[in-house]
Amino acid sequence: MQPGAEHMYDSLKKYIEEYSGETLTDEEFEMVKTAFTPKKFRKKQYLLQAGDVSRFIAFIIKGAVRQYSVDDKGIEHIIYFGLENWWAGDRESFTMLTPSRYNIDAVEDTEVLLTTYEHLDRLKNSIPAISKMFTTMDQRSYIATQKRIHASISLTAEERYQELSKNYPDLLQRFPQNMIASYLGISAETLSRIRKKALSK
Amino acid sequence: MSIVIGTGPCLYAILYGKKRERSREIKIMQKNITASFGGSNAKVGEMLVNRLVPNRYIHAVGPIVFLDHLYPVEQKPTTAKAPNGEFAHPHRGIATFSYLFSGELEHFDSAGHHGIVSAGGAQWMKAGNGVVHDEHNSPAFQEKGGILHAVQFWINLPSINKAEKPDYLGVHARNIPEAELPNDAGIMRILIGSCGVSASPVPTFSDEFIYHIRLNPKSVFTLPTHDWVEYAAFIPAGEISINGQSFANSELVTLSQDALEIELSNNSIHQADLLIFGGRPYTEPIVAQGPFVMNSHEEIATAYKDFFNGKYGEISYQNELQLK
Repeated sequence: MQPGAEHMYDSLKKYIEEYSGETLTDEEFEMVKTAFTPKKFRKKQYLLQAGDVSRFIAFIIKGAVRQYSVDDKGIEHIIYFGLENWWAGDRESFTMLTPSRYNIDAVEDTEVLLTTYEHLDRLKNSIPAISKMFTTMDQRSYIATQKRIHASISLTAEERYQELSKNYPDLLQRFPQNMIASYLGISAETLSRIRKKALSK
Repeated sequence: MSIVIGTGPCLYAILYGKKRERSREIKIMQKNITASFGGSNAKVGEMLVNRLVPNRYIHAVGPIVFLDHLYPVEQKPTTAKAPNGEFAHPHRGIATFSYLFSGELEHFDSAGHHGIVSAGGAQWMKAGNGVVHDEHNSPAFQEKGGILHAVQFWINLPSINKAEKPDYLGVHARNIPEAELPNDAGIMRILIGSCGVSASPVPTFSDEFIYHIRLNPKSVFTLPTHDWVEYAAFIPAGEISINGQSFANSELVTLSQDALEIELSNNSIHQADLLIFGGRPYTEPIVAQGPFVMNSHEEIATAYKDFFNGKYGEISYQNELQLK
């Protein structure tokens, strides 16, 4: 195990226990440790590149990542940001084993715990807490996705920005303006105008 | 695997499923309709499909564990794009079966099979112990354009066949046996399985069958059934009445498992299509995840591990180059 890896596993343990409402036994925690591998990514390094099959999903211990597609004109469309205690990975590619249409890269130097579908599936079937954790994660993820779709089809750019700053203020601190704009589906200029207007209120 | 001549489930029984709110029973000497299901939209690559099996009520019909309906969609003529693997994905434990009402599909797989099949034809691929495949509009169809309209089934393999090597069969329309229905009621195409003396060239494992019935206007056909076979009917487009109830536009219908008959009638003035499918009930455990259908969670975990260890091989698109 790498130096400092122990605290990484403690974050994951805390997360599992919080999301499942159960306590992991020592034996279960050992199984979790075996299934997850620590890995560091430097800023701008790829966790996943479009066209590859998503072999891993990552539990973020420290750092910031983004998931995005690149269109024919070379424009990036960010669909997801990840920070500490969030997950990163293309769930479709990870499950269906189809080539991903997304890139995932580190926006800050990032430390993660990686696991494979094989390991995760074994954990889910042997540790009830892991299975419960996924149920909670899936529920929250569904709700968040629904909110994001609703925002993108029915709110104005300004309202979308306000909702983001209210619900996820950390994202505005950690990611540059051009990425926030892409995430909101607006130009950097529009975002700048909205921010000025918000500040002057 | 076996091809049984002359004992097709066309002489056997139809469908089964769990009750739901929309089901309406008919108390006559016909099979009861136990459920109907309109499916739910899903995105597969760029295509919008109707996912009919599995659903909340029906996990399988005989060994058939999956049915997607690719809605009829106009494909604009374009410059043919060489396949680049963007739709390639693995399978293990099943046979896939694509049938085309319209359009033309090209198949590649990592076991070296290649085929192009057009309207009225089908592609069958036994994934067995693992294969990577890629199925897409053929280069000629991309250039010509037209309507793509198809269905894809997954047939769950018995555990012994899950361990076998992959196989592929492209069946052109002319090689699918067709039987005339009595009283000029229309035709039955035997896509998989057999009926009377007609047998499809597609290998079977659990007496599975898929029949494409095309009823003439104002025509009726009655299918006798047996009680040891599970049956379902799928109505892709037009309207067909099954035991007196009307179904249309990508609806799936299941019937009770007693050995009675199914009356199919077309009350319109146009031809109407439906698929009747099913087979012997699958009695081994079913664990399905992603592109795999196995008998245990351990086998699923192994299926994922093996993919990243390269056990399914890679597609060589060499055939594509030869075609040009």
